[in-house]
Amino acid sequence: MNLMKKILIVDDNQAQLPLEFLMVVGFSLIITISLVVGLSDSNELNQAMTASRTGALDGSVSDGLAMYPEDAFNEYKKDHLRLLNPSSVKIIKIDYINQGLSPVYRKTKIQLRIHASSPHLADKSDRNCMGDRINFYARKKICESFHTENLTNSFFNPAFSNNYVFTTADVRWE
Amino acid sequence: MHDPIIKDQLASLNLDFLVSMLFLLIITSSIISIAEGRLTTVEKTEQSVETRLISEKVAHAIEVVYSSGEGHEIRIKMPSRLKGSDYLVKVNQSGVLVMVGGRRGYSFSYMKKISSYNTHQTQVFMSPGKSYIIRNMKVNNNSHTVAILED
Repeated sequence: MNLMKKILIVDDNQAQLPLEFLMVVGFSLIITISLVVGLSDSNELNQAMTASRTGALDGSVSDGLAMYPEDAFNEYKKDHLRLLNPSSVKIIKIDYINQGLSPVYRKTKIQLRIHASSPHLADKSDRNCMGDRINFYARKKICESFHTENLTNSFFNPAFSNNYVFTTADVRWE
Repeated sequence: MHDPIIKDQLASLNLDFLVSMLFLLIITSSIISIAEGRLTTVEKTEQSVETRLISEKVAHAIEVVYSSGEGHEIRIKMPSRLKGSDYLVKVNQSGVLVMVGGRRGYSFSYMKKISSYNTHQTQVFMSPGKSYIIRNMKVNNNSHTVAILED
């Protein structure tokens, strides 16, 4: 049996393991390993941006349908009655600015800016409240995506991933 | 007769296959993570929409009953759960409040007298899974109230 195995490997009738193949695999591995760091960083940023998009959608749904957690509801009941009515809120796009390495957290700092639209809501303070909610959910979703809820505060500000730290600028209403 | 792994005549376990599987797994795992997040959002959105619908439906029924005059009534069947969560509806003279899963939604209505048919309270709770009749009743000579009674 052992003799048979040896013969088959040496035979290599179908050219499964020629020298060229091994060289190609070798070079591919070297290139892949050198790209892994960059690729994983890009993948992480991509995952965070996707999470922020999902979170922003969560926030816009909450604002749009006027469904709020109890504390926010009670606050709006006092000062922002308009927000207790449903309104149309749309997330247009999410930009980010790379602000370089944060000396405090030793991670790359990314600032997110969410662009949204709510044509029927004119009051600036009401829009601020809605924007804060959208930003809150965007940061929350990033933390949930990377399981870093325990590293940040109750406002999820800043939000952490493995190599990045995320903050949010005020929502730009268009 | 021969060891099938050593033979591998169809080359189904070659290096290409393994590398492809590795990449496929990496891509699939990241897609699953994204899909999971989106599904949670969809479920939450669905619950919020249903909550808003209940709140608007009750508020609308109260408005219609009140504006239609004495004796007009509408029957409402409350859903047993909202996307698997318990909820509570509170009606008072200024509107309808729905509470579900730690969140609240409110529908305003024009100020009017609301009362429970049996207890004459000005604040009425509507429970899941029950049917209610909302009826316009005359209480004094000129005054009307919207009474909510369990069917």
